[in-house]
Amino acid sequence: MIEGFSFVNKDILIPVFIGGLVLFGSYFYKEWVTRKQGNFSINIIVALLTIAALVILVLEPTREVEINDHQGILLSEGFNVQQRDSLLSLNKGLKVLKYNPKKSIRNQLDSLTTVYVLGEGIKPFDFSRFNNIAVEYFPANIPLGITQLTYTKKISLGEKVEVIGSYNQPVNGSFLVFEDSRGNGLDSIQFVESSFTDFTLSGSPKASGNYVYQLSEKDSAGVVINSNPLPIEIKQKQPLRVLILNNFPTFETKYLKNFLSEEGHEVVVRSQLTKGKFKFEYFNTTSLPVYQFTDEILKQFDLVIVDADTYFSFGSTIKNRFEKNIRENGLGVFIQPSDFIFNRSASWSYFRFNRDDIKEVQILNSTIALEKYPYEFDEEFLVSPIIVGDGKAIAAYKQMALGRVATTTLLGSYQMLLNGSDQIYKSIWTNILDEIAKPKIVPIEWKAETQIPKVDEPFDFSLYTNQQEFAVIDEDSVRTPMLQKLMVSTHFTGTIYPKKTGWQHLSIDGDSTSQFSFFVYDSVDWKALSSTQNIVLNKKKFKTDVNKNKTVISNRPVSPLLFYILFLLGVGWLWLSPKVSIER
Amino acid sequence: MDSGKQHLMKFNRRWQMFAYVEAMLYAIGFGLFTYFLASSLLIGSLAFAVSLLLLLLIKHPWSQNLKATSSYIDAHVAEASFSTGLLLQPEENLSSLARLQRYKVSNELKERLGTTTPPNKLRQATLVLFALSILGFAVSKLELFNRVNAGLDFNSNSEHIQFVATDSVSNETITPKIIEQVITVSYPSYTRERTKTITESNIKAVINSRISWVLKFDNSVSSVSMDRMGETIPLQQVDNSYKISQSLIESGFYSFKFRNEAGLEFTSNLFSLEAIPDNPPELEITGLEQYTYFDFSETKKIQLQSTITDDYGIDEAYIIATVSKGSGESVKFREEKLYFNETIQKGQSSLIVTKNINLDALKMKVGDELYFYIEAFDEKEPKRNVTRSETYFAVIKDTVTDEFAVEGTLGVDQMPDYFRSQRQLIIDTEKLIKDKPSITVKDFKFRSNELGFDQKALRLKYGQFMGDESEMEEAPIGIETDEASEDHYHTEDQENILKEYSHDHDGDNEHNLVAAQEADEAEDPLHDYLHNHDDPEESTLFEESLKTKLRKALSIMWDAELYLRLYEPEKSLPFQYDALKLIQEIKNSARIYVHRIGFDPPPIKEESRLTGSIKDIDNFRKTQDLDVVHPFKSMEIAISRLEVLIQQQDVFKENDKIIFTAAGNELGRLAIEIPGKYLRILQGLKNIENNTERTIDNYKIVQKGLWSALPKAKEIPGARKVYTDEINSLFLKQLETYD
Repeated sequence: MIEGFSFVNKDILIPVFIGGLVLFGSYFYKEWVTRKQGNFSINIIVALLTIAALVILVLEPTREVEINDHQGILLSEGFNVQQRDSLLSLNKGLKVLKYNPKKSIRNQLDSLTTVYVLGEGIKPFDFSRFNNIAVEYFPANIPLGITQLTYTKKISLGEKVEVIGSYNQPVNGSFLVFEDSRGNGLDSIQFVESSFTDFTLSGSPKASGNYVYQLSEKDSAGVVINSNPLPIEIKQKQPLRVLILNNFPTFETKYLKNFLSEEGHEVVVRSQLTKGKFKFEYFNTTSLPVYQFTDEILKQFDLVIVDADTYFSFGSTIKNRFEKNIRENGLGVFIQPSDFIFNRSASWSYFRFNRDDIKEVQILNSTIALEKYPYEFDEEFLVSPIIVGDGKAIAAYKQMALGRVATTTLLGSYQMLLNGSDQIYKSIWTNILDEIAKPKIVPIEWKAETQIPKVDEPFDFSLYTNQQEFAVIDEDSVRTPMLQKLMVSTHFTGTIYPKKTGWQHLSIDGDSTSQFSFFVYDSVDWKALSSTQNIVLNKKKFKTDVNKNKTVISNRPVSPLLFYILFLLGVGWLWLSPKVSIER
Repeated sequence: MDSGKQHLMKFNRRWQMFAYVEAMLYAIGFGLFTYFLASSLLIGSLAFAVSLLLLLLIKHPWSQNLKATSSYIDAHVAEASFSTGLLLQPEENLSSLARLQRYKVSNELKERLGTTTPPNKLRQATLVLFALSILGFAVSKLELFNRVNAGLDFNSNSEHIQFVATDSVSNETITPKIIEQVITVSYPSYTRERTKTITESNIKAVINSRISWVLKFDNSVSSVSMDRMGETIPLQQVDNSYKISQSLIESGFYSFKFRNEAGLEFTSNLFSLEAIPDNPPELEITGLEQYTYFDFSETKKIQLQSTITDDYGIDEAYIIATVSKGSGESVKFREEKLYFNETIQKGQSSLIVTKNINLDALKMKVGDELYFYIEAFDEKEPKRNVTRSETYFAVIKDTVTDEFAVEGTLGVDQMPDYFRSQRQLIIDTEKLIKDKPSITVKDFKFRSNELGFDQKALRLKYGQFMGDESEMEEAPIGIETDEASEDHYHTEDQENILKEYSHDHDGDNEHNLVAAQEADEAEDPLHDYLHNHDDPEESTLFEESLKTKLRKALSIMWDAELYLRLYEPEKSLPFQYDALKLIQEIKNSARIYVHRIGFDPPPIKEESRLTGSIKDIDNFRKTQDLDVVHPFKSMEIAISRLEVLIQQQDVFKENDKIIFTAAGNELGRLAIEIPGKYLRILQGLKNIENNTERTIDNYKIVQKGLWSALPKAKEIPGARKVYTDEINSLFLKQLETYD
């Protein structure tokens, strides 16, 4: 290829070239047959030139042009007028462009060497257009409204949704209300000052399903000023299969067993009566006496609750079998504490304790003092607190490969039930058991990469799976191409362009269980939040020092007029020449 | 004759006629307009009549007189030469010139008046008539007012129960309407409320009211029934109307159902039935302390004033007064019903009653206590509501109460009441010494001996507390037993010098308090409560130091008794004081607690005891399937389903009906307490169920209501769903290695 020249339609270069040759070949044959009429060589040359002109017309040749120091200013939404004016007065001859994410700006950018971007910046999907251009970014002021937000998008029924965020300059006296999908208020705060305010709201959903909760801003009279959707996916929890082992029957176990069995969990309780004799209780399950702790038996359970005396008096074979099941199968073990566990060495009892001589503790959101053993958990790398009271862990688990072992320093939690605070009792045990129960393995995990998907904007998502052969389809069974990551073979990414707002679903073809729901927002939703996020992304993208290119090489199309004329003249000659030769 | 005047009169009549016609035209115009507007002939003709009357009254054409006519003709007919007035005057009164003029005018007018029309606005009236009738016609054709009419109609009929077909396809068929609807609420007779006929279909009435519905339909219908909380009750047909009568026992909902001629089913909206409970009477006692104390010398009267109110009427009210006499074991109660000073007329809703309670009239003595409260009943049927006031106390203070007991602050008073205390003995002894000069020797000796016996009785009682017979044996018990036997036999033994002084029952069984044959058993009244303490070594009643103290007290009592028996009360007195002091000390230190309730363990098989054999012990097995109760499961499902329908991701399917029916039942259970609150939601659910309002708006309303009605979700543990792959697992495994 000639230096500095290129074609727009490079892709079809070869077919067009071949087509041109074929055309020339057939013309050559035709001329060869009638060569006696003369003009053969002239005709051939003219035909060659004509066909070459035609080929060039189809391929649209371009030529590299050097552009010297041509600057532009790109105004995106929310730009500062003063900034624009001072930039314009400083740099004469700035080309002013308006940014509209729905329109391509490729052609306008073409001739520029440096661009000043003002305002909220360029959408991330347009970033690639600016790769060759030096960009200087002047961010807009942080917009008014909710500028930061995190909340639990996926929860299980019975859990709390927490909405944490920041509001930039709220109206004094106005309210922020967390509402369910039909506007029943769940939680609210009133802004007392008009400055940057952090807020935390929470609420417990009452039914499972995909809902669009709302975060509404109301004035002091209760009139809704602004409302933004909070899509939340609420799932039912799966019941557990629990094995409880006790040296002797205790009240603690009795109440725990009642709590679990009344909520539909499968519970097997084995309490020792005397040497070799046991009391077996089976709730919501068929009877299966547990004498030996074989792998088969342990595999059947999601959770083992065992008192410290029983667990630590197991022989090393049994204990190893337990540990193997914890590590490899993710079994959860809760050790009911006794003085036994606190006086053991850490290597033996998984946890290290320090004596703190405090016998009562209060947990968050409650005024009730709970009785505890006078010990506290020693902070360790693999030990994570589950329940914190008075700033210290009162229940914690230790991660052991895939499984977890937990215990608590609480003493006689059933007292809470007897005192009537069964809400706290249930909450404590739900928290503990949720953390350690054997997780149900799902074959596919989806993850939304685009935080606020909108109509006709790209929505990026990730998919993690061990499967290699699968097809992602949308509601209309249209396939979406997936891109596998080079280094991590289980990680795939994909992009779709949602066509309508509301809940959308993606699924794996032929597998209805692994459905992925995501919510497509309306274009007016979360204005301040998406602007803020955009500003942050732009700042990150364009933060590197601007390398002020003075020249830029750009491919400019060569005017096709010359080739048209050549083609016309050529075709004209070829039409005329036989007639002239016949007359002669 | 007087032809000129006749012409004038004719003209005048014509003028009047025109005025009448004009009024008529206006009235017809207005009548037509109203007829078109109201599309009712009756209203139209009524409007015509009224407007005609009004116009005539305004115009009063009959008052048109000849004078006015003549002046009009004078003004408008040139030939009249301003002389028509002459025509009205009798000819005789006129001068000849006037007569001539009169004649001339009369002739002129004969011709002129025929062509002159009296002033009228007939054309204008006709125009108005046409304009009004065209306008009316246009309005009625354009149905401009139909909406207004519909609105008005709706308002006027909204109290009538509206029906909708349960099948939406049948919109073309005529919906039979209720033309007459009578809801009658008969309150229970005791409320004295008259039977009310109400128009509102959501009924609130006192519990036990009887409510009857009479419905009359414009078309013939069949199988009319009432659906009351899932129960279907058919209505009875009486002539053209349907009747049903129900008692209001609890709150709930109802709706009506019927089929039309074509067999299509129609259902009404859901209405609430709210049973308002009849509250029990309210009592207030004013101006009285809960505890009133009287000294013996005071006038012991209580002024009691009370306000009693009830929502419907009080049936009865009285005071229940209880007098308690005595204390401890010997307390006696006497209950009396006292009536107020005022007689209570049944059925009054508010009363102020008073009562003077005279404690003396209740035969209360010092130390007696009076407890009283007011009881008031209302007239509710079948069972009256009753309210009791708080209990008030009145006590006559007993300043000389001296309870003798070992108890101190004990819960159980184990001391029998019927023997004299040491303090009492001292008082009596002192009295005896004081009285000595004034009484006979025999009397003195008798009383001294009596006191000696009392002292003995006291000593024996304390001895029993000791459980210590040996102590008794050390003491010369012979006297006691001898005395007892002799007393019992009542022998006239001369050797018994004490006989005449020891009045009658100088024995254990003083005053025959215990039947003679039971005396032996009852010797130890604590027997039933205590362990066997016959063996002094096992006596655990008192601790060691206490025992010595009591023993010391007993021996001192011996001395005291001895001197009393020797008729030397002066010498006895110091011993008695010593004994009292010791007893006080014992009293302060002795503590006897409530006895434990025994547990009888199963008998131990001695042969297998401590052998360690568990041969017969077996594993215990228990299997139980607990049904997890989800009382609001369907409501949850309905909420989730509604969300899908609202998001328009799916359309209503027939299966959904089951969900909404179940959700309605669950909500109904919740709503029974406050029917009004959830009525709209229940109605909405029902409309979704029977396909009369499957709209997004209704879905939204119902979902909102369900959200707020649903109780908080339970916190239950469950398994997380986690995706793991090789890298995650490897990472977790490596974590532990570097711990």
